[in-house]
Amino acid sequence: MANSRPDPSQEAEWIRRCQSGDKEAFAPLVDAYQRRIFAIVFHLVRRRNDVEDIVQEIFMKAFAAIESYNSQSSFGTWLNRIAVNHCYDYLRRQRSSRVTYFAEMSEEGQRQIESQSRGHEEGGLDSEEKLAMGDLVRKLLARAPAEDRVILTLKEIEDRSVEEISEILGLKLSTVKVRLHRARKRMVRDFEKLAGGMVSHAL
Amino acid sequence: MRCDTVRQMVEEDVEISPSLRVHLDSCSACKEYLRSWQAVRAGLVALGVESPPEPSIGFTKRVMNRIENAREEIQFGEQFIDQIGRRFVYAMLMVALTLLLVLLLPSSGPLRSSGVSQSVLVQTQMATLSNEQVLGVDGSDSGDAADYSNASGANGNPATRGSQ
Repeated sequence: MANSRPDPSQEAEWIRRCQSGDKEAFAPLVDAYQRRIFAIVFHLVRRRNDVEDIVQEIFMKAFAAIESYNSQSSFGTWLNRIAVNHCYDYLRRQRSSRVTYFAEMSEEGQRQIESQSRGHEEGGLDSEEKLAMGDLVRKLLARAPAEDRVILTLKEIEDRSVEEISEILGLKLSTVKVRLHRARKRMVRDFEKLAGGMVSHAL
Repeated sequence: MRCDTVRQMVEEDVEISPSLRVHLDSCSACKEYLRSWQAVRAGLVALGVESPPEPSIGFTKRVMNRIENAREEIQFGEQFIDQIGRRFVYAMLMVALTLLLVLLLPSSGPLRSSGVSQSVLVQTQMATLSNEQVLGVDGSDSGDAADYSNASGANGNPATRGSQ
């Protein structure tokens, strides 16, 4: 399977053929972009077993909508937009069927958070602590609103620029900045709430 | 410097300037925010390091098969609508037309009113009589037929009276 970005003229030819009804021309586009879409879906959804099904649905959506692609943005960005919107809907559905907040946190998880909180105050985290912190943040993200999760994932995990995020989400730069700050504040607030609760509980 | 501005700068990893340092030293809430944000960011970075699953062998083929199946389903749906659906629409139109006829026709059907039936009967009788006279069935000429017609209108045919 191919991974590198295809030659732009070749890509444009595949897209043109798809738009004129040649289904077979879609296969090389799937080949070229599947890894990128797997990564973005995995980072957003965080459920290994669901990723492949979701990516298949995204490519099906893209094929169904390919006639509407008008080259204003790159095909990759257009595909990312479909992927992010699909994951956003998926996350909203998941979140609506979930018991809210920290009730699901195990005792082991609580001990980890307490330990990370103390470790961080003492300055710096070793690799094991970073992994544990990753686990905590994963849980915090799982409980965050879908909007926060998407924007934080794109910025902090996918390491995309504000400009790219604005293109993918179809938002103004200023809106992206405001939403990003709001999402970060909420994450910090939730982290402090949890860590503070753990520390006061320990005292 | 406002706390919110300081926090935005902290989030963006802006180099800590002397004025920012002064604020952080004097504002315990912002200092705490910086610590918490650094911890959260470390967690986010750790999540980014985790490698996503690889597409399994034959992934592209499975996508193409699903697209093909979806297209067949759509085509089947279109054919169904085209064939069965059209017949259904015709059948419904026929039912609607029949219902319309049933609602509109009683005045000329077996349930028609007696007044109407009598007038129709009289008209038929008059037409029969005039035809008989024109054809000379009783042996008289057409002038007599006109007289007879007048007479029967004025005299005692109960059907004629009833209609008048």
